Amino acid sequence: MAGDIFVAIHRETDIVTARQRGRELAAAIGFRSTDQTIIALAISEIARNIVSYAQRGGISLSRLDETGRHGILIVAKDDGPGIPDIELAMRDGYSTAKSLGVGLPGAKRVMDEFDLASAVGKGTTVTMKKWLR
Amino acid sequence: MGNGSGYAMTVPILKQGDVLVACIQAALSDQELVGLRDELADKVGRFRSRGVIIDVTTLDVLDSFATRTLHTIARTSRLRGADTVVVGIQPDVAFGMVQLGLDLEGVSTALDFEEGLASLNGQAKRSGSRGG
Amino acid sequence: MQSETAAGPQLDADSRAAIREYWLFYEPLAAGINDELMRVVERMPAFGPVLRAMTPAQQKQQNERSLAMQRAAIMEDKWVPYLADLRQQGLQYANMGIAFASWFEIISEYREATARRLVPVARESIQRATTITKGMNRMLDIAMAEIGEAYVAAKEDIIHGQQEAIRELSTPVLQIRERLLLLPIIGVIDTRRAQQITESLLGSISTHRAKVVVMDVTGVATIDSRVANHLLKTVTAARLMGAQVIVTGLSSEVAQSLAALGLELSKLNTVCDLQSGLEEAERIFGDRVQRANGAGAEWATGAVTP
Repeated sequence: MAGDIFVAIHRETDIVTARQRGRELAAAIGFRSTDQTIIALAISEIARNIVSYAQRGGISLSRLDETGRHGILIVAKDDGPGIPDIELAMRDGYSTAKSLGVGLPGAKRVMDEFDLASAVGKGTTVTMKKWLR
Repeated sequence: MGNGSGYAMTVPILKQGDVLVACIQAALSDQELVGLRDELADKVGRFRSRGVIIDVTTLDVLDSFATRTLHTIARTSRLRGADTVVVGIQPDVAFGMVQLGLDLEGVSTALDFEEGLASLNGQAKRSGSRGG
Repeated sequence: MQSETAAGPQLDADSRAAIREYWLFYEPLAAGINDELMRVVERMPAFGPVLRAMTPAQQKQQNERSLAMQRAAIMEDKWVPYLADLRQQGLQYANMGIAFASWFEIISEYREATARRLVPVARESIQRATTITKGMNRMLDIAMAEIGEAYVAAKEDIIHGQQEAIRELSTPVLQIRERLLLLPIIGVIDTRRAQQITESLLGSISTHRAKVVVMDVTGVATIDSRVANHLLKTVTAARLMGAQVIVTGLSSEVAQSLAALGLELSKLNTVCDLQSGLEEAERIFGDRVQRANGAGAEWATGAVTP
C-alpha cells in the first residue's frame, strides 16, 4: 500500500526516526499541525516502550482510507517479554523501573482507536488509529 | 551516534554571567537529553550558576522522557543552588503535552529567553524554598 | 510513481470483454455522437459557457485527447491517466459550482445517442447489442464514480475552508495593551470551535508575546464537560508557554454545572466579570513591576491564587 513505512526500533535514536516519519506521514495525509504533534508524541511513547524493555521491535505507519474518511494507522510490534498485567500497565502513572510511565495510557488518550495485545513471552502489539476530522 | 566516553555534546550550553543557557535543537534524542542533564549538573556546580535557561523553541515534541529529564534537571540544579526556567514551548507542543497528560509542575516556564531571564531575576529575589 | 496499469477498476473477465466490445462499437461512431452531444451541451446553462470558451479547434483537440485516454484504458488497461482525468473534471466542476445534476444530464444524453445507434446492431445480433450495452453502462458507472467522488471531495474541501474562515472570524483576539490579550467568546462552543479557540489562544500568546490572556465567556450560555475539559487543557498549555489565563464571565449556572461535573475550577483563574478580570490582569502586571523590588513572583511559575 502506498505510504507504508516501517521503522525498525532497536536503539533509542530510532525513537526520533519513528516520530519524524510519523509526523511526515501525518502531514502528507493532511493532519493539522496540532494533530501531527499528537501523533508524533504517541509514536514516541510507543517506540520508547519497545526500546525500554523489548529486544527487538518495529513500528509500521500507513495511511487509512475508508469511504468518507482518512487517517493514520500505527502498529508497534515487539519481541519483548510481554506485559503480564495489561490492566495495570494501562493505569495512569503506573511505572516499572524502566517506566511504562505515562506512555501507553497517554497514547490511548490522544488517539482515536487504541488496541493492545500482549502475552508473556510472546511480545506486544499496539495498534493505534487517528482519523482526520 | 553513541560514544562511550563522556556525554553527547550536541546541545550547546552558553554561559551568560551566572546563568547557563541550553539551546535545544529540533530533533532531540534521549541520549542528547541525558548528556544535557549530566553536563548541566556538572557546569552548575563548577560555575556556581544561579540560573539555568533551557530554550526549547525549536523542539517539535516534548514527550514523557523529555519531561522527566526536565524535571530532573530542575531538581538537580536546585540542589546546587540554581533555578531553572524552560522557555519557548510552542503551542502545539504545549497542548500535546497536556493532552497526553504530561506536566511540568514545579518547573518554571516562560515565553522566551527574555522572559526567562526576567523570571530568574525575580526568583533570585525571593526568599524561602520553592516547591519542586 | 504508479505504473499505468495499476489501480484500475475492479473488472471481472466478462465486464472487461463487454467494455472492449463497447469500445470497438463506439470508437468509429465517436465523432458523430460527440457532435450531437456538443449541440445539446451548448444549450445547457451550466456547461454552455464552458464549451463556448473553447474554439472549435480546442474542442476537437479535447475530444481526441479524451478518446485516446479511453482507448488506452480500455484496450491496454492503462487506467490511471483516464481516471486521473475524470477526477480532475470532478474537481473542476465542483470549483466552478456546476451542479452534479448537470453532469448527469449529459450522461443521459450520451446514453440515448448511443442507444439510437445500437438499433441496427440489435437487428443483427441481440447478443452483441446486449454486450455492448453492458460494456457502456460499466464504463459510465466507472466514469460517474470517479467524477462523483472527486466532485464531492472538492465540495467538502470548499465547505471546510469556509467553515474555517467563519470560525476564525468568530474567535478574534484583541490586544488590549502590550502583553495583554482579550479573547471574547460568544455563542455555542462545540468541540470544533473549542479547538479553534485553543489554536487562537495559544497562537496569539506566541505571536503577541502575551503574558496574560483574559478569556471572557460571558456570551456563552452553556459549556458541556467535554468542552470545559478542553478549555482547561488549553489554559494549562498556555501556562506551559509562560502565560497566564484569566477566565471571566462564567455565569453561576455554568460554574455550578462545571463544578458538579467535578472539574477543577480552581485550576482556572476565574473572576466574575470582565471588568474584574482586567483589573486582575493589571494587578499581575503591577506585581511584575514590584517584583524587581522583591515582592512576590508567584506568577512566574504560573500559579496565581484566585
